[in-house]
Amino acid sequence: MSAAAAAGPPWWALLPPAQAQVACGGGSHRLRWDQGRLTAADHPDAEGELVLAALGGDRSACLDLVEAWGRRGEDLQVLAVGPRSAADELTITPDDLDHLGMSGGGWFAYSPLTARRFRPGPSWPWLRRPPLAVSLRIARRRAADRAAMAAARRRAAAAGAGLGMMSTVTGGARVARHARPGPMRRHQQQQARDEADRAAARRAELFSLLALGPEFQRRLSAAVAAAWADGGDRAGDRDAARPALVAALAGRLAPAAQDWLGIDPGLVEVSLHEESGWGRLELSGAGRERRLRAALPAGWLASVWAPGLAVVAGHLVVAVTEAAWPDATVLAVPGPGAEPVILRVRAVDGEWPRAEGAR
Amino acid sequence: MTSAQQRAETYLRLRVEAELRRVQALPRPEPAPYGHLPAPLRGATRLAGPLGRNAATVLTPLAASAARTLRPLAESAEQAMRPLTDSVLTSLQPLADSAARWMQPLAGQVIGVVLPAADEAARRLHPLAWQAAGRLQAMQQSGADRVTQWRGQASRATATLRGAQAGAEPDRQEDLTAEEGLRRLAVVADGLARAGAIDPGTADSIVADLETALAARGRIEPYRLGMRQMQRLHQRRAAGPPAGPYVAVPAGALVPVGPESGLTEVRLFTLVLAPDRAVLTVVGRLSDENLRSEHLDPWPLFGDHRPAARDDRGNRYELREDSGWSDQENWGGVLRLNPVPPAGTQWLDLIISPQAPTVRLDLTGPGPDHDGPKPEGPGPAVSLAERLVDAAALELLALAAGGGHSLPRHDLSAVADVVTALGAVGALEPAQAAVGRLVTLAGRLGVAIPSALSAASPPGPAELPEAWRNVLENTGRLDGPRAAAPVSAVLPELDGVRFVLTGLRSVEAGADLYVMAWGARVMPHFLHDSAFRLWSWSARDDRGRWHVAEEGNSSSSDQHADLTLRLVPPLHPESAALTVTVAGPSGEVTATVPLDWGSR
Repeated sequence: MSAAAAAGPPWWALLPPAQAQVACGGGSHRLRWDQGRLTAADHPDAEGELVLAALGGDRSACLDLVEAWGRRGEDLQVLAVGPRSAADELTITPDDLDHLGMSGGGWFAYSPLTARRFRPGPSWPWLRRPPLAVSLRIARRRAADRAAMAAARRRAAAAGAGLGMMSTVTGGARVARHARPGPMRRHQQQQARDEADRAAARRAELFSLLALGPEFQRRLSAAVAAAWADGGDRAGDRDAARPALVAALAGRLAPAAQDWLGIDPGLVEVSLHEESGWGRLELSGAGRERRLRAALPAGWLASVWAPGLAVVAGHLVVAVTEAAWPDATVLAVPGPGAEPVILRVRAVDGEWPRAEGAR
Repeated sequence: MTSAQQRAETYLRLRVEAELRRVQALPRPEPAPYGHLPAPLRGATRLAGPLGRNAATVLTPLAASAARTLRPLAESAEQAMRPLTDSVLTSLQPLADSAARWMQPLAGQVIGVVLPAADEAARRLHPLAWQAAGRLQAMQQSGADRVTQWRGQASRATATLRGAQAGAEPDRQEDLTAEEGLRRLAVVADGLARAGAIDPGTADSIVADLETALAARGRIEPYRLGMRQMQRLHQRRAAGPPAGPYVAVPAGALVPVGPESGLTEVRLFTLVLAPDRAVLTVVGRLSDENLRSEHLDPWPLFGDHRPAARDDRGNRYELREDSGWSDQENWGGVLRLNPVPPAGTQWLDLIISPQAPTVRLDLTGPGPDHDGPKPEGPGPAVSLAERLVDAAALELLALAAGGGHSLPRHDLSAVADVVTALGAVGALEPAQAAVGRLVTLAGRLGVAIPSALSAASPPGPAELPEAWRNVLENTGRLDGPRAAAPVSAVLPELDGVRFVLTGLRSVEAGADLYVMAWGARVMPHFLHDSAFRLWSWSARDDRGRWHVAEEGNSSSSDQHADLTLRLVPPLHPESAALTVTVAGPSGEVTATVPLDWGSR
């Protein structure tokens, strides 16, 4: 089944304005989303503040979020991380953000606790204390080692050299004492840490946006989908993004199809529809083996899924043809094998019941 | 990006979607996981928590690895205890199940306190800290094992997630936790990347996105993300070994040491001159009073005398212990020369102890017609996917040749999962023969074969390579020479890693081959979410006996590792040379070394 769809309304047309409170400068400020844009309602001179911030002035949390929103408006990671359905609840909170900047590194040592011996008979893995005489020698040598190391460090410090400290690892019956890496290795390690820190900062930024709540999660997801849909800023780059877009569609259509048909979401196969028309739906198999093959455009995510319109009155909505919040006219498939029909719906308390007089 | 790579990326991303749906159906984690603990323990865990969680991530695979090595021991204990424990288990199982569930995170937390502090502990309290860590590893794994056991070995699920591939059989994925599912997907991603089906960076980012998605849903702890990210970056770093010459100079001298050393004698194996260090590998036999003592600290073994060296220019060098190991009979270690001898040094005189004669090492290198090591490489090109599956078979072969204690529990489900994924993205064909070899070998060894693996195998038993058959034929022999040889060889660089052979010690049941490695990809296997080891070692002695190797002790720091490889079956008693081969992700390199046994 397929049908031509007229050019639809803007992707945000069925997403009403949303507002969130955020902690900013010791107070609680409003972030407002309207017609695809996020603004800091309590920062009327946002541009002036940004200029001052660029010159070294204080930054505000509100404007940081607005900037982050703009940066993430085309980021496919939003679709990979964001919600898939109303039941898919993200629990991230601003408190969780404190834990995201961790980075590690350094050394590792490994000794199997039961390093197998070749001697016949049992070989016990437990670590054993050395005899007293050996212990005394250990203590004496450690004291000497400590003194020698301290002297070496003093000499190195005096010479400005990088001898630094030794790392010592003891694991089971293996002991390792490796000198610190040289300047080149330290540089490489630092590069890796810097990269990890950047990744952590990106993750923290994404979480800070997702922590604004479900309304904003859907709007940000919609913005990203719209950017990659026909007419979007990234539509020309879609070839490389196809796997991510297919997964984004599959992850969101599958639960909708489950609601619609009771089908196993694992048996929903999705492809990206990039031709004219709304797409294609095919059902095969019977009973628990029913398999739905769907081809939908990336814009479906923005204009249909994000406003919560995927399944309305027993129909799978495949396109929005007219929109004037809270009213919409949509193209919807009543059942497998059927041609799509036009429905008029109206948003009421977050639901989309059929409007009166609808066909 | 090729269409094949797009197919693989799409497959992996769809697996992520399936995994998220699976996790969504799991019960949410309890918000207060320690609420049922006694108050003092709750306090302790709160204290331990912030530091501990990070390190628990590192230690979990470590503990799993430790558990693998513990299995032989556990199995024999199990046989002895079974009659007694069966009845006890029946009555205690509900209690123990509950205990295991809360002890596992607790152990992770407490371990976590130890490991992040270990850098400091390394300078102060390292033996204590690591003993504690070792015991906690065991405790944690014990808990994990019970849970795993009583879940009916759920992790043996073999098929891909439903819907990810047509015809996939129903699986037991519902038994996996979010963390286990994540690890499983990471293994598949690693397998696809190692087989060249997907760009490694893309595979990493897909796994990272799943981690982030799970963290955003409260299914894994957000603070684990940073550590995982760091691990991935480390694995992905293309940094190779330090540039410059690598020289391995065999020493081979047996030198006496003083009674205060705790040793009867020390055998000098090989001096390795690398761009970033100069090290000498040595092995000693514990004196009678120290036999079976399992020294933990080999550093005082030279008594009050510190080994030293001097060169032809009159420069003096200190020899400090860099790493070491000991068992009930022997001590071995790596001595580090400080400073590194400058280029152009002709010879070094080593003074190990006042009792020992000076040992002179010629650093000018062998002449063009020397009869020493002959490194070769890289070896013949085979497909990445084939090499990957053969690596799994070689690991199986090493387990069998090493005694086979853990074979009955060897789990090929992760390998099967990767093979299924390769089939789904159309990348299995070059590896199909290797899958056949793996299935045939597993069948011969009595290892459970996941149905997905059987399905991907060509019909009928495959012919095993002659080397594998030879290993199987000689498994169980106890006729290896009891001797040591200063094998020395610098292998050609392979996949960004430089391996240097530095010594070999043979006993009746096998031989320990000492190896040094430089490069970013020498991190221990347990740090990788992978079903396949990165490096597979094999060897053939000049009497025609083949050997495979498993990694034994190892220590690593940044981009350097000291490895002990256990070659099994044992060397032929009359062997006089050994050809050692290491296979990496993209090829293999080989060196033939003489076995100069010296005094046996």
